[in-house]
Amino acid sequence: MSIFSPHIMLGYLFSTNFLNAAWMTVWISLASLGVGMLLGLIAAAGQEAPWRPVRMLILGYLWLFRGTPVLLQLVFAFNVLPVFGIVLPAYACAVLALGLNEGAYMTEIMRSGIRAVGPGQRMAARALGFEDRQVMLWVVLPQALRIVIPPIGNQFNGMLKLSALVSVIGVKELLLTADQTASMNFRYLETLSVAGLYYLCMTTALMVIQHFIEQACQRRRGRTPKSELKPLSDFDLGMVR
Amino acid sequence: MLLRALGLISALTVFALIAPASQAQNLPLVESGKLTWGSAATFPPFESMDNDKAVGFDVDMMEAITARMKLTSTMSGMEFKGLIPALLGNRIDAIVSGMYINPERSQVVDFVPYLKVGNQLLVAKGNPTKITSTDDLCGHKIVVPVGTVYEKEAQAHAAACDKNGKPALAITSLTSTAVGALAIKEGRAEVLIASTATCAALIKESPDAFETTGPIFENDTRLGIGVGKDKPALKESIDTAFKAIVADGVITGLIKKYGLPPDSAL
Repeated sequence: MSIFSPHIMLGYLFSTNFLNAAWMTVWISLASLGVGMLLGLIAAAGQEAPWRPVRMLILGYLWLFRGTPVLLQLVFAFNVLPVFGIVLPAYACAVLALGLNEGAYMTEIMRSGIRAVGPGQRMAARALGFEDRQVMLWVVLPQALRIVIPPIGNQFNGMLKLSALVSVIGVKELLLTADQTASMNFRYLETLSVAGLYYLCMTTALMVIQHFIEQACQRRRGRTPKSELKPLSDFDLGMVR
Repeated sequence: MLLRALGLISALTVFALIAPASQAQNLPLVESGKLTWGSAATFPPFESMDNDKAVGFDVDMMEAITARMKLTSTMSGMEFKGLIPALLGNRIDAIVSGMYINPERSQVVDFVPYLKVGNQLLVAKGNPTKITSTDDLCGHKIVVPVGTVYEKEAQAHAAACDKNGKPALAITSLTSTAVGALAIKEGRAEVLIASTATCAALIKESPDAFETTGPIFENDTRLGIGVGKDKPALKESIDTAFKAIVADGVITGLIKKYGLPPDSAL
């Protein structure tokens, strides 16, 4: 058995087995990130809410999910929930655990974004007659979104790699597929390298996408003041009669 | 300064590489004086954990074998799928984990056969899905440990189901037989394949949860102690020690102790 065989590696790289696994990795990561972002947005907005019980509830959620390992949460969803009669399929457990965990971190990211929008913005919006909900929706959130793009990109990058954990509950993603393939013929170098290559492709694509999103947001920011606002003239200030 | 430090480090490394080799004159061991064997302690009655301590047929057998070899028996616990890579990577001296000898494994690992087992299907108590043999598997949910012969077998059955146009066999690959049994208890899967002895041990542990179904099949499957192909001397030495404990009646005693069928001996 030669140490490295490029033929075998290329064969794996384009096999349906690995392509399906890569798709599963992308799917699980996207779904978990979606759940996480939604939860994060709701929880972050909830933390700004004036109701104490809501804030306590969210604090409890953050405490629980940021305070325990995500692998534990994953195995818990898979092996312990059935004790209470909740038997979810493996991929649902994966999205549930990864999504809930992600949501806790997203809450903090979203919150930092919301807090980073200066109080002057809210005051100005109020002066223009916006209601509380409208201030949040039309003034604070659009600006916060721009701030949170880099950390969210970071989280998604982490999520792609974190998704390898779900191999332990039998979701056939890249790592489990690599393990299974290697256990048939013991070509660990080739199978793990192929899985690594797929991860690299995904994270590279992600970096490019993040770059474009950031650029798009920058452009919008640059255009608005130019088209809408003019410096106040002496006439506006009432100095010319 | 940096160069000198580098020189020192490389000299030390070379020394560290040579030193154990010159110490262990006869056997190339990972740690001299110890036989380090890898095992996934999730496969009763061959090996399982009893509060922090590994117990089972393989553990007792290795105590006897290493005593013959005048070495200390050191178990290194890991996942089953990691055993062969650990052996190939020289992290352990041997694999003793109820490992089935098959042609694929024999290509990369040398085996000292030590026991004969058969396989059986394990289902939830009352056999709710009415599976009675491996011919009934199509359309059901099977759970297998990653990297095992069972996984390979399940894949072969699944392929046969597809080929014959029958409903698909859904395979879930989990980390161990123990977790697989849990999946059956929870209704996540319907059936698993295990050795007759393992089925018996699982049923003994939770008689209300499991039962076996159908006939025993492949009852000439052999378990082996895996040794690296580049270490014929070590294999020879283990083989000699094993033959000695067979002659002493140790193996027969262990077969009785762990309730294995009497014809398990080779």
